[in-house]
Amino acid sequence: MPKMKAPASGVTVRMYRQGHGDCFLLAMRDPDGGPFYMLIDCGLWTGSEVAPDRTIDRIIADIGEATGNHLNVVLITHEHMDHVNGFGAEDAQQQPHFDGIDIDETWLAWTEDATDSDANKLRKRFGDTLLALAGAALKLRFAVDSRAKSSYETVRDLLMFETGATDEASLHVALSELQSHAFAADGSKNMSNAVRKLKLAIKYIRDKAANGVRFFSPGDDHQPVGKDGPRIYALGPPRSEELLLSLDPHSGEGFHIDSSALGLMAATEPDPDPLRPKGRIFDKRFGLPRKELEKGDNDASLAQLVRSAYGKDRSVAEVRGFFIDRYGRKALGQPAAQTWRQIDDDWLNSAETLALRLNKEVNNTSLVIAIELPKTGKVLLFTGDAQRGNWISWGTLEWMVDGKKVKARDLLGRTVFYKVGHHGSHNATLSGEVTSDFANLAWLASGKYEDEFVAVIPANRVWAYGKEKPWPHPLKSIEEALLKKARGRVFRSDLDDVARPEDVSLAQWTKFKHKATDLYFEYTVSDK
Amino acid sequence: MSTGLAAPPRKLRIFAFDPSLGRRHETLPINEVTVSIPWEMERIDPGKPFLGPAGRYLEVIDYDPSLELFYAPVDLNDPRLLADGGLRPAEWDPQFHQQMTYAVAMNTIIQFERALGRVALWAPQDFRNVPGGDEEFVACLRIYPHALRDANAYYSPVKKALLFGYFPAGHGQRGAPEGSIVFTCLSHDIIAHETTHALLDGMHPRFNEASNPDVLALHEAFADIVAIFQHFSFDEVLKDQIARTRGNLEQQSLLGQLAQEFGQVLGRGRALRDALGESGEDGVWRPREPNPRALEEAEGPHARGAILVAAVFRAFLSIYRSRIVDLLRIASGGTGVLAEGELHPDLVNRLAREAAKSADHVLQMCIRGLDYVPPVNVTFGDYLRGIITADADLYADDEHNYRVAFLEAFLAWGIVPRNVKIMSVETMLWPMLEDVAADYNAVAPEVRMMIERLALMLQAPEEMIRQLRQRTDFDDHYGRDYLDGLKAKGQQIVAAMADAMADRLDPTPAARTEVATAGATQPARRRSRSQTLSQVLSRNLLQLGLDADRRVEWLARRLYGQLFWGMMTEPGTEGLRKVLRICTEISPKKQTVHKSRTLANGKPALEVHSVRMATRTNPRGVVEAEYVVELIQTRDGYFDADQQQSADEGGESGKAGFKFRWGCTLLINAETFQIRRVIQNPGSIEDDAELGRVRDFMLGRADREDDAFTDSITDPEDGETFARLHIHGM
Repeated sequence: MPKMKAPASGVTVRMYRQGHGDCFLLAMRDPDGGPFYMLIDCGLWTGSEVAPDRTIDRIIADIGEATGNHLNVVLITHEHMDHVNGFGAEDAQQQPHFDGIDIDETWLAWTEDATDSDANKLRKRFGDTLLALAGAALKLRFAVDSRAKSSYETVRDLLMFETGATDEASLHVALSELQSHAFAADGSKNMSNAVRKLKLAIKYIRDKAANGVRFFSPGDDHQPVGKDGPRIYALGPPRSEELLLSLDPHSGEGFHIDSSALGLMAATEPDPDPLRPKGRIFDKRFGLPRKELEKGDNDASLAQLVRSAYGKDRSVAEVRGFFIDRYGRKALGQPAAQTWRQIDDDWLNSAETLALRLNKEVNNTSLVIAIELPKTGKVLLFTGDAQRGNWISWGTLEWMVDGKKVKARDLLGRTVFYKVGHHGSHNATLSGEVTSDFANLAWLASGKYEDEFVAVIPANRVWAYGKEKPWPHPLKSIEEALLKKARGRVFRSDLDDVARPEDVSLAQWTKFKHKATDLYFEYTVSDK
Repeated sequence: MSTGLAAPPRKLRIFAFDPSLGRRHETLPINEVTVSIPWEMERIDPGKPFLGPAGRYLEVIDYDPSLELFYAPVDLNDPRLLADGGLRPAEWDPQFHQQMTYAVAMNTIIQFERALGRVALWAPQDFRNVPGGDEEFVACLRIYPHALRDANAYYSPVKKALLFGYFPAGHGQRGAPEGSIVFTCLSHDIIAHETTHALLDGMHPRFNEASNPDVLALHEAFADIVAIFQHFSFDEVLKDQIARTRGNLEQQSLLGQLAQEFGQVLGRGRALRDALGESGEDGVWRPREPNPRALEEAEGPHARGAILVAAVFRAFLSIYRSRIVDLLRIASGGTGVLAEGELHPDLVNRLAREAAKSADHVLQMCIRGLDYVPPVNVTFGDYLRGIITADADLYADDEHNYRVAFLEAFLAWGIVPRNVKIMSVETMLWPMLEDVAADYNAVAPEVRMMIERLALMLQAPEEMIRQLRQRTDFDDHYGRDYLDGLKAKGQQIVAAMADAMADRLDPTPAARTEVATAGATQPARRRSRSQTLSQVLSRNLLQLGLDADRRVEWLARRLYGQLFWGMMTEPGTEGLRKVLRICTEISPKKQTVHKSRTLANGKPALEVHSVRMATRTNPRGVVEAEYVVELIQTRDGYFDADQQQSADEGGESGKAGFKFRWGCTLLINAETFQIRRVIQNPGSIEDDAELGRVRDFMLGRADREDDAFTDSITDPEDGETFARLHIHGM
C-alpha cells in the first residue's frame, strides 16, 4: 500500500472508522517537501466496532503503512479508553503494535505535566476519587437491592473505562490492591497494572518519543513544520479550576465532588477494628456497634455502651429491642418483607454520581487545538471530548503572533473543519447564537468560511442505542444542527458515506471531494 | 377525640435555620426556636419512655450504615427533657439531631392536616409483586438522620423513608469551616422539604412520574414553598427579620432562603435555590424580577420549580403589602413613608402578625390546591387553577383579593394554563359537571342515579357490596377476587377499629405494631369491644376528620375506592363516563389502552386512585366537606411513532417504552353528592397528540442528562426518583 500523500497545500485528514473512538491521521508538507504526519488519539470503546473485522489492530497497521512507520507527532487529547487504548494494543506475542512505528514528539495537555503544581493537584484529586470509587465498588458488588445493583454496574463500567481494565475479575483484584497500597503505612498509592492500562499506554507513547514531550496550555502556539507552515493554537483545557470542573450546561454547582469523595473514602477504608470504626463523627459514647446489638441482651460491653450513651442506667433490652425490632438484623438470609426499609447500601449509591462526574471531568481535560493554515487562514478544530467549561474558556483567549493579535473568536470563525466533541453528545458542542458571549457552534465558520464547513462525528449509533443502558448519541439535535450548518457535509464513522441532502444540487455536491473506504474517510482542507 | 386527658403540647427546640447562624454573632439570637406538637397527635403516656422518637407518624431510627453504628435513641419523655423543651440545639449530639428531624417533620405534618382537614397518610407499601401480597398501610415515615456520606438528602418512595447525609465541608467555602462536618439533618428547610415530598407522595403517588417538565418541578417547588412559609410561624425570627428589613420583606431576608448552610458549603456562597433573588457579581443582592419567559428557558425540575416558588412568593408579598398599607400610614402620620431609623417595637409586632397571617393563608391555599389537580401529568397551570378553585369553593367572597394576587403573580411569571383563553379568576375555576357535558339533560338521569348510588355507598357500604354481588359481568376468578376482597377489606376495618378503640384507652407505644396484619394484636381486648361488620359498614367511615385513626382512614379510603370503581364500571353509566371523557370501550385502533382484568369482555381498565374527604371550616364557621375521587386510565407508549401505530392496531411491537396516563379528579359535595368540579388532563387516553407530547418530553430529557453509563430517557426502574433528583440539589 502506498504511503498517505501530503497535500500540496493544507492538511489531509484520514478519519478512521473503527467504531466509538477517536483516531485521526493528519498529513501536511514539511519545508523540504516531505510529508509530516501527526496522529491525534487512537482508541476504541471495547466492543463498539462498526464491523467485526474493523479492529484497532487493522487501524494501527494502516497507520504504519500510510506513514512508513514514522509519525512526526502523536497528540493525545485525554486519558480515556476510547481515545487511548490503541496505544496499548498488543499483538499475540504481547508486543505493542506501536513498537514498529517511530515517534518524534508526543503532545499532551498541561494536565499531564508532572512539573505543573496545578496539574498535580488535579491528578491527586482524580486519584482520590478513584480510590473512593474503588472502595465503594468493592462493597457494592455484594449489594442486594436493585438501586444499589444499578449503581454498582455504573461504577464498574466506569472504572473499567477509566482504567482500561478488560474484565470484572481483574478489576476487583486491581481495586483491592489499589486500596491496600493506598492505605499502607508508607502512604504509597501504587496502582496495580491492571487498572493502569491507559496510564501505561500514555507512558509508553511518551517514552517512545525521540524528541520528548511537549505540553500545551491555553494561549500557547507552535509551528511544527517551520515558520511558513501551519500554526497550532492550544485553546484548552482551561487553567481555571472552576471552568475545568464545569461540565454540564446550567449545572453551576462545582466543587462538591470533593466532599462526596472524601466521605466515601473515609468510610470505605478497610477497617482494622470494626468496633472502633474510623471516620467516626460523634463522640464514641454515642455509638452502639450493630455487631454488639445483634449479640444479645446480656452482653457486658453493650451494657457499658448503653450506660455511657445515656449517662444513667437504662434497660439494655429496651434500647437493643428498639433497634432489632424496628431496623432488623443484617439483610442476608432475611425475607424481604422484613428488611424492605433497611438502608445498608444506600449510602454507597453516592459512588454512582461521583463516577459520572469523574468521567466528565476527565473529558474536560481534553487538549483542544486549532490548526491554522498560513495562506487562507482556514482552521481545523480538534476538541477531543471537551465539555462545557472547556468551551466557555476559549472566548477570551488571545495570542500575539508576529506583532499581531490573534483572537480565539477569530480562529473559531475561520474554522472549516470541526472534529465534533464527545461523539456528538449533549454537553460537548455548545449551542448558542453568533451574539452569545461564549464559544458555541454558531461561532464556527462565519462569513466566507461558511461554505466550506465540514464536521466529523466519531460514533456508532447502533451500538450506543443498543447498550444495556442506552446512550442516545450522536444526539439528534446536535447532528441536525451540524447537518444544517455543513449543508450535509458531516462524516459519521458508522455510516459508509456522506449522504447528499435533497436541497443540495449534484453540481454543488461534487465540489465536496472526499474519499470513503471501509477503514476511513479522507478529506483535504486545502490552503488555496 | 378527647380521652379526658388534657395534656399540654410537647415543646421541642430546633435550629430555626441551621447551625451556621449560631456561628455568626449577628444571627445568634434567632438561631433557636421551639415548636409545639399537640399532645393528641401522639397520645403517649408521659410516664413511659418515648424512644426514637418513634411515634404514630414518624420513627427516627438513627443507624449509620457506613459505620455500622446505631446512635442511642433519645427519650423525649425523660423528665429532664419534658420539662425543658427537649435537648438544647447541639451539633455534637446525635440525640439532638433525632429530636430536630422529628420536631420539624411533625410541624410540617401539622400544616398539612390543618389545611386539608383530614389525617395525613403516607403512600402505602406495595407488596403486590410478592405472592399473596397486597398494599399495606404504612403508619410511620422513617427518618434516618445519618444515612448517607454525601451532600445529599432525599425521600425514598420505595422505603418510605427520609435519608439524610452528612459530609465534610471543603476548602475555601463559607458557612462552615473546612473539614468540619455539615449535617443535612440539621437544616430546618431540608427536613421540611423532604417531609413535604413524602406527604405529597402520600396524596399523589403518580406525581413522581415525570410525564411533562412540570411534574417533578411541582414536587420540588411545593416542598420549597412549605419550607419557606413555615419560617413565618416562628415568631421571634419573624420579628427580627421585620425589624431588620424595616417591614419590607422584599429585601434580602433569611426567611426565604432555603438550606443556608448546605448551599454555602457547596461553594455557591448563598442559599442553594434562592427563589426570591440573587447576588450579582458585585455581591449585591437584588430581588428576582418576574420574567414571563423564564419558564421557556428553565431546564430541569429545580430551575422550573424555582419559578413556581418565586410566583407564590410574589403572591404572598402583594397580599402582605395590601394588609400592612394602613399600618404604614398610621405609623407615618398618613404619608405611608416611614421615618429613618429603627421601627417601633409595637409596629414590628403588628407587621409580624400581618406577615404571619398572610404566610399562613398562602400556605393553606397552596396545600388545599393540591386536592384540585388531575391525579397524573399535572402542570403548573393546573396547579394555579387548583389553588384558585379550592379557595373559591371555600370562600365565595374574595375579600382580600387573594385569588387575584395569585393569578397576577403566576401570570407575571408566565405560568398560564393550557386551553384557557381568557385569563381571569372566573375562567381559572375548574368546570362544573354542567359545563363539561355538551348536553347535560341527556345524562341527567345517569347523574341522578350516580348520586343515589354514592349516597348508598358512603352511608351504607354493606348494602352497596350486596348489590355489587348481583352484577353479572364478574364472571371469572378475578371478578370473584374483587367481590371477596371487598368483604375482606370490611373485616380489616372492623379489626382496625377495635385496635383503635383499645389504643385510645391505653395509648402506649407497646400497644401498637407497625404494618400489623389484621388479627395480630391483642385478640382478647378486641373481643370485648368489637363491633360487627354490619355495624361498622353501616356508617360513613370518612367523616371522622382529624379524629380518625389513620389505619382505619386508610382502609376506608381503599374500600371506598373499590366500591367507587364498582359504581363507575356499572352498565348504564356509559353516558356519564363519556361526558367525563373516560374511555368505555377499547377501539381496534387503540389496543394499547390497558384492559381491565376484573371486568368481562376486555373493557378498558379504570383505576380509582383515591376517595378521600376534604374538610374545611368556612368564614361562617360552617364545615364544608367534599369527597375527592381520582380516576386514571393507562396506555402503553412507544418511543417510535411507527411502533406505536403498529401496537395501537394490535400488531407485533415489542416492549413498550413508557406508560401514558390520563386522569380525572372529581369533587363531590358531601351533603348533596353532586359532582361539584371536574378536573381533567387535556384530551383522553385515546388522544394521540397528548401521548405524543409525553413521548417528546421523555425523549427530550436525554438532551439534558445523557451520559455514557446510565439510561437517561426512562424513569428509574427501582423507583428512587428523588434519590437521583436530589443529588446536590435538594
